[in-house]
Amino acid sequence: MSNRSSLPPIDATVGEAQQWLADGHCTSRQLIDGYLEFLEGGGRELNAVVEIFNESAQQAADQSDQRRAQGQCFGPLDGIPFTAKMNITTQLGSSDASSPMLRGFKAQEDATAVRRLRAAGAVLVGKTSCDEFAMGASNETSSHGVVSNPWDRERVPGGSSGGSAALAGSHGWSFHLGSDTGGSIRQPAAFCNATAIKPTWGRVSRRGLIAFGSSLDQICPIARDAVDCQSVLQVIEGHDPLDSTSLRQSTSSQQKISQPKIGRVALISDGLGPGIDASIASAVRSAAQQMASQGIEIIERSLPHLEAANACYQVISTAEASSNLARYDGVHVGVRGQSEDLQQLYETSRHQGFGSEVRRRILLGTFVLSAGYQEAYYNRALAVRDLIRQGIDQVLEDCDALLLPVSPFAPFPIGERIDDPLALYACDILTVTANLAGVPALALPCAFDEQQLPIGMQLMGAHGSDHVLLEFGQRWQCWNDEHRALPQGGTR
Amino acid sequence: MAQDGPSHHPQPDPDRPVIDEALVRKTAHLARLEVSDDEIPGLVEHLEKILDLVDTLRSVEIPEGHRPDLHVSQATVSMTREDQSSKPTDAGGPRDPAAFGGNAPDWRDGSFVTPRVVG
Repeated sequence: MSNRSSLPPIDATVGEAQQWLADGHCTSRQLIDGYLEFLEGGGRELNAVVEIFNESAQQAADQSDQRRAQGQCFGPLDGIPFTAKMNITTQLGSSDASSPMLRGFKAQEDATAVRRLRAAGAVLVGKTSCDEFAMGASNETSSHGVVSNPWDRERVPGGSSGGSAALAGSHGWSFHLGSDTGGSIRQPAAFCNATAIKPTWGRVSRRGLIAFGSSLDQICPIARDAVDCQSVLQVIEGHDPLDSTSLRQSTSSQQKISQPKIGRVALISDGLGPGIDASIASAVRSAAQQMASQGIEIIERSLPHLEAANACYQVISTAEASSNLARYDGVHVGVRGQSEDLQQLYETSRHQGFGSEVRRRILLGTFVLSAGYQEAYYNRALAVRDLIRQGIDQVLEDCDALLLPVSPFAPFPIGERIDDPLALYACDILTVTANLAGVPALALPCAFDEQQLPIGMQLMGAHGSDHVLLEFGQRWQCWNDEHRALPQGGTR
Repeated sequence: MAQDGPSHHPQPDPDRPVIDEALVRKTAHLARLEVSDDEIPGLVEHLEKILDLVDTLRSVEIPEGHRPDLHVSQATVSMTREDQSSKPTDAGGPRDPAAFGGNAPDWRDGSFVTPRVVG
């Protein structure tokens, strides 16, 4: 046996760590111990990780090593560490969606995505912080405290999957499960220099994802590169009898595009204009030029109704949230207020258990669904959603993907926007479109600004084109190595 | 492109509801949310601002007779499954009811406890 005591470089991807294991340079137990050490150190310093499962992770790693020794390795994720966001249920630890309402909530079962990953040998090492019920873009509404951006500790990591992104952006070997309702995996990925995909709606089972906006929510992988995201997606995707909205079609039948590879990309000009930081617009234009130099045809296009998309999202997501969160009533789970009157008990419990941002969204969602206002707000938003979907389809008639920035601005200082909800909602203006249309969107690192803060771009594709996007992401990451950078200095 | 921050609503709009304390209290009651007197001014202001943003929906011309699609994906329309029982060992299978009690704030004798609602 070769030297088993050397661990991979900290910027190593899951694929590289797996090769390290296969080559016998270290064992899964050593890899897991090393990663647990990082979580206890750097992960805690960033406040990204809420719970760490030392003992069970070590046991799972030992089992993985036994399989490997017997030539029965389960595949590319066997023995690899991963975390799950606090709004994804796991039998281990608690699943509180970073809300006081669900403090200490013990799930009866793993989410389907988690179950499939553990069955593939991946080792659940911890749970990550997020905005309360995944409602936020800065990870400042988490009941577990503010998470820091690994590139600048005074800045936010983005949200709502801020804990997952902070870990992915600061250490390799691992991947993380987050979720995306309006940009919650892509915006933190862009803020922390990680790679993430929001899959086609229905591609990944939502069983075990604590619901926010059911027609928008997806569980998503976030990792160091597109290869790793694809390895994870291949395990978690596919129909789940426990989620009737998970898609049954095979991958190939979901493809609407004729080309298996992306050859023509629509650069969305509306995403590069006023309201978008000049450095970000410039970085995405440069990325388009870099693609062009590699033979990709770039066509500048407008995306109709992009401005209305955020308004549409605010109405639909809060309407669905007001319905989904009605279940938290002080009786079945969570916090309970004091009252001898049932109605008062509901109201008091929900006042105590929900944070102010969650309450604001429930209020708006209830308003847009209430008698007299539903037609003007909710039904109109549904109609606009159709037009947004059609607008994407139009662009995809002669292009294979849409290219635009992830975030209109760079990671901002902690506290800068938290008292101005609308300033936080502005984070989502470029990401919500993919959720409203149900199409996949891949966030890729593309540059750093003058303050050495990461800049991300996103590619949106046709319904079902997730793997086409990921394959393009792999090509991109052969041409551009910004994704290798780590705040501590990785190899680039 | 949407600007960072709230836009200004230029003049009174006859189609726009008046956001006031009464509307906030009524909506909060529908949502079963307690609101304190201190919170009301902030919630009125927030709803005003968010409705300014939401009003951009009105600038979108909806084709006459358009019926919104209520499904995110046509692939999941009318999805059905076999009506089969599952075992406790199956993923998503039946659980011992007592297991739910562990997450309940008040669970006694196999039941969720609420304040008295009859008698």
